[in-house]
Amino acid sequence: MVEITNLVKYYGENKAVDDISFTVQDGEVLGFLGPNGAGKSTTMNILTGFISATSGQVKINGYDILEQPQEARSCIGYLPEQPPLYKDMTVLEYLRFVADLKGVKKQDQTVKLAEIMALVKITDVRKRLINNLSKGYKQRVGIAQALIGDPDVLVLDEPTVGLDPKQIKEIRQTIRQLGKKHTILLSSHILSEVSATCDRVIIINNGKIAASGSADSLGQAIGGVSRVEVIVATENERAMSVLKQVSGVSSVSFLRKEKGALVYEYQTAEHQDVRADVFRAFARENMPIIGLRSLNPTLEDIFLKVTSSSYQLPEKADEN
Amino acid sequence: MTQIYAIAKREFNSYFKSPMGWVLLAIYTFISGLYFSSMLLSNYADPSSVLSFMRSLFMVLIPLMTMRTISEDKKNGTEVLLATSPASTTQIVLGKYFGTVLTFLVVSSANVLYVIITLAFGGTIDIRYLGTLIAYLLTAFTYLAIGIFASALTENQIIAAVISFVIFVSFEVLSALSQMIGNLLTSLVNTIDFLDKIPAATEAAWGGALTNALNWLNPSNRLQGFSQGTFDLLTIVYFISMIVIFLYITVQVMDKRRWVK
Repeated sequence: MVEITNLVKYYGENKAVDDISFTVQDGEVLGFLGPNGAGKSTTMNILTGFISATSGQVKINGYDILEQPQEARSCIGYLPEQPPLYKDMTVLEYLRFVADLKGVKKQDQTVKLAEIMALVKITDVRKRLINNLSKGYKQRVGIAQALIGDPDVLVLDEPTVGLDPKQIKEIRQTIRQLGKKHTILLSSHILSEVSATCDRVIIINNGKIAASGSADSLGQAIGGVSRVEVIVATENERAMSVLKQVSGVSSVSFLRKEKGALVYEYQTAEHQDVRADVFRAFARENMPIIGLRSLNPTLEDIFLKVTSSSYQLPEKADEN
Repeated sequence: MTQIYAIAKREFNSYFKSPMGWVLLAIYTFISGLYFSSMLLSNYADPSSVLSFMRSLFMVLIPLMTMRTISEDKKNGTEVLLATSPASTTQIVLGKYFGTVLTFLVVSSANVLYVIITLAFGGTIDIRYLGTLIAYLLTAFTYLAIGIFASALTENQIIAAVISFVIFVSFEVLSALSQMIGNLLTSLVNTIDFLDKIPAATEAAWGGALTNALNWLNPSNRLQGFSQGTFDLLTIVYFISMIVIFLYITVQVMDKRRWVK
């Protein structure tokens, strides 16, 4: 479990982290989302004990990172933004070094390292010099390094950066798999990554928590309208006015023309569902609906909304 | 303890995985070999003079050796790995130090050859050689600690080398200038004391005291007796204290980023 209370970090005059508090429960995968320079890496550096906070407290499994650094750090596996690799070593040499550093017993090392290498799929390159590995493989060695010593808490700073789409998918699966046993805190500025891997999301902007909750609950917290896309099999432009006449529909916009069909989007007040009415209205006009899809706010919408400067955090938004 | 060993082992290995370790070994062996064999040519063998000669090259050799120890970690981001591992900063610095000391011993290994050659041709290895060897090692171990300290100050290897080089040169310069600095103090006090309230002998004593203090603090002055086989416990304690102090400052420098603010 990771507990962070009232964390503040100044770089000179510049406030990088502004009074952040949150808790990561055991076995939870928490996504840390924010634009570049939002304070993600700084927060991660603080909670792994690499740099100190100006004020505030970090507790890892109950150990304070400043008061009992040894105990706290032995609970953490950390993959920083730039994987901390010794490029003059082979993968296996490097992992053995990290295992020694983390106090893994010599007789257990061979088995444990073989497991980890199989998990992140670097067994084939174990005898190669790290310097000669591709970016993706280096990133995997970085993840492997974080896993050594079986830490309860994994802190991964942008774990899929520099990987190709196939590798990203694999790494996400690996993170999901690891999330069953470990508490994971991962940062990203890629939204789909967070929604694909995390139980809970914290959006951070300008050093502050802008929103927090599961992707679904965040959607509700944002509030506002619900949008529906409708595809009507007609060439007749009158479909627009038909749609407008349905009661409850507030704003209609034409999206695009498809083969023999028109695509519109309409908005209603939140929690108001008029899809059945829309169907009947078009049925009366003999305009068959061939597609009807509700466009719930994606993480992307939420992200853009909460990181825009005009946005104010709604009350109670960080309740889970 | 395993952490210190792991870091020391990696440090040692990394010297000999990069050209650096081999280049240093080659330079050392070549220069000392040239010196020793030129002695042999004149039917004369004194391995302790090789040690003394090589000791005078420390100010170049040791910065080359220590410049990368910590600065490279800072530059490559591997500092994060060490700093967030269960190893304490003291263990990290000790690991780096012992790894470098071991590398230094390997680089100096040619001296074993000179001793063997001297013995094989009926030369003597006596207490004076032992004294010179101890002086050689004490200087090296102290300079390595200073070099590691310099390396912790910056992420640029060249700057780290320059800093330690300047420190070593200033030791040499200081031993030449200590007399002058003492005299300067005497004349300064004399100028300020235009009413002649202070006796001239006292003024001279102050200058002399400053000269002595500077000489006492200067590691390059403290080992002269050793080559005659005169061991001085105080000097040994002095060098060990220097090592401890510089490694301690290194730990503080590395921990600086964890200080609040």
